[in-house]
Amino acid sequence: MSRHWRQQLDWLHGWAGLLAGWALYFVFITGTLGYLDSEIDRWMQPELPPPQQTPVITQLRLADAYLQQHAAGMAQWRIFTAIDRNQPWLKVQWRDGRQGRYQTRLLSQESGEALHGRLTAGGRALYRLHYRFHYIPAPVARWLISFLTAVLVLVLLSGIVIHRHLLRDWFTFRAGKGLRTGLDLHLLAGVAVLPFLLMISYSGLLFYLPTQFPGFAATEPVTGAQSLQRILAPSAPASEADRTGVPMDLTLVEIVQAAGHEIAPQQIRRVDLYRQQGVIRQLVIHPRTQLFQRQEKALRVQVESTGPEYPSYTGHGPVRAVYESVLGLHEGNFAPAGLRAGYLLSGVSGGLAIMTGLLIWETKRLRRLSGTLGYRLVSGLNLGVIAGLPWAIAVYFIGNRVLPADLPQRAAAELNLLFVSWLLFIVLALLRPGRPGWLLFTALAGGSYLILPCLSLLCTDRNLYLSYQLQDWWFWGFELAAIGIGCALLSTSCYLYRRGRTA
Amino acid sequence: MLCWSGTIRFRFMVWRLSPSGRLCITLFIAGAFAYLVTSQLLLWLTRGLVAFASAESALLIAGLLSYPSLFLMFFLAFLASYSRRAQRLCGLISVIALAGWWL
Repeated sequence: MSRHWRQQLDWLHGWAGLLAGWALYFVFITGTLGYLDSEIDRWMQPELPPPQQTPVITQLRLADAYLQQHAAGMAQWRIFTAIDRNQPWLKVQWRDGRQGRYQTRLLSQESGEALHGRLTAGGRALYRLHYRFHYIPAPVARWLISFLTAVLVLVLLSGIVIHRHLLRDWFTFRAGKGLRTGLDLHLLAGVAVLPFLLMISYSGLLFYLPTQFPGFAATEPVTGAQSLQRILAPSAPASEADRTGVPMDLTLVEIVQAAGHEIAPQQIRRVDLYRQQGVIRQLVIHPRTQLFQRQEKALRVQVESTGPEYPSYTGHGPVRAVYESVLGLHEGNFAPAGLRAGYLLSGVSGGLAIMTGLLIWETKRLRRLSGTLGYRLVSGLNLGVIAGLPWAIAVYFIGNRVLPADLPQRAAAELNLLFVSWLLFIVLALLRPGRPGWLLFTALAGGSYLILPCLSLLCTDRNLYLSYQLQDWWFWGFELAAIGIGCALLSTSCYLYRRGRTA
Repeated sequence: MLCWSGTIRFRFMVWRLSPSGRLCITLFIAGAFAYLVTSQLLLWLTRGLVAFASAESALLIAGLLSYPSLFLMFFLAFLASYSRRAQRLCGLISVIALAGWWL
């Protein structure tokens, strides 16, 4: 490999890494939190009972009874059964017609009554931030995240090429050597999870394939047959116009039970119901996701005047199964607790690699550029983004506890709080970059995480001990994790203080 | 004649830039080349695959191969900024892609 080419790639790695680094850090941290979205949701709605498992048929009966009472005759229903951590509560949605927003309720699996938790954006909103961002239109967000992911792939590939002795250097860690230590840490964090980083970036790009290659994606190779957009689009019912006759009047549970020879009721993750003239016309049954898959093929039951028609269920073909598994690997919804922990650690390690990369860029140019406007900007943004984002997320959690329960648009207010506090932090960091800023802001972020369990104690009827007694492990785990993160940030602040005194 | 003078003017403009400015232009050209060529190759691949597999499979296989192809083309075009062999290869690929467009 020519030295000249390697130098060019070094330039590319450094500059592309810096310019996309702040946004990629945001994507990595919020995306990693997405692997704990259900657990965060649990903590942010303390009024809800701990998740429990009941037979799917019982859940469908309860949901059917509730919907008959509150959404009778509506054109569309959706029922999400509580079968695993991705769907911890029984959820129903309905809307009249094909347009408009769905009304959503969580239901008790004992009484079938609606559960009333506080309105919150929850862990799901944090997860959505990593690809949808906030305050910007969806098409812009799609292009932006696609571009950032492509840059991430370039940075990863160029990083592999420029580090000639990748594996040898990976096993070398020199502590207390300033810039050298930073480089070793960057390599350690990056190389340890390199397969994960390559997988996550490649599969991340595939999510927006139709956006990035619109010409190819709209191709219809067999006359009028399929385009990629249609293949990947969520399932939609057949047109009502081409159907005649009044369908047989059956209940949802009757149809699902009769479909048991194709999909066992205990495997049902979601049921979509479409009505015509007040009776059920079509039922779409989504089975539970299997290992590595993102979503399984749904079974479509058409209800005619003679009764329901059950097509024989076959899963995805081999190519679609490969495609779905690549996307499934990205989302990790199939992952049991151990593997989920692996995802979490890999995400944190990726964030650490980006963070050390940004700091290396700053440290390398300390002597040459110190005092210039550009250097101050990079230095301030590094502080504002690296230390500011964890703090802003802590403020988001604090907002969940302190905002009034009857506040209009409460969920949006929580997210506004996150971004306003982060912006404020960045402005302060730009005004006060350098070691004093790091010391102050890491202590502030650490303190914010440590008060989260105290706020639960003061503002709700839950606390760490009660969660332990109730064996509500998600709630308990969240608060323990908050204490752990708070202590780690405070330790960092103390370390910086001690180093400042000895230097 | 116009084309030649345009090329000379462009080269003159690029040469007057700093090394990092030149690199930025190289990156931009490499990115545009990779994107256009990959889009065209994907169309060809999909049409070819339809003869052996279903439309869904053809589109998904082409989709899975799209990004490796994109990054391969990008690095090839990036390498072409100083390697004659890479320049010729890029030229050949461009001609094939253009022919596909025209056909």
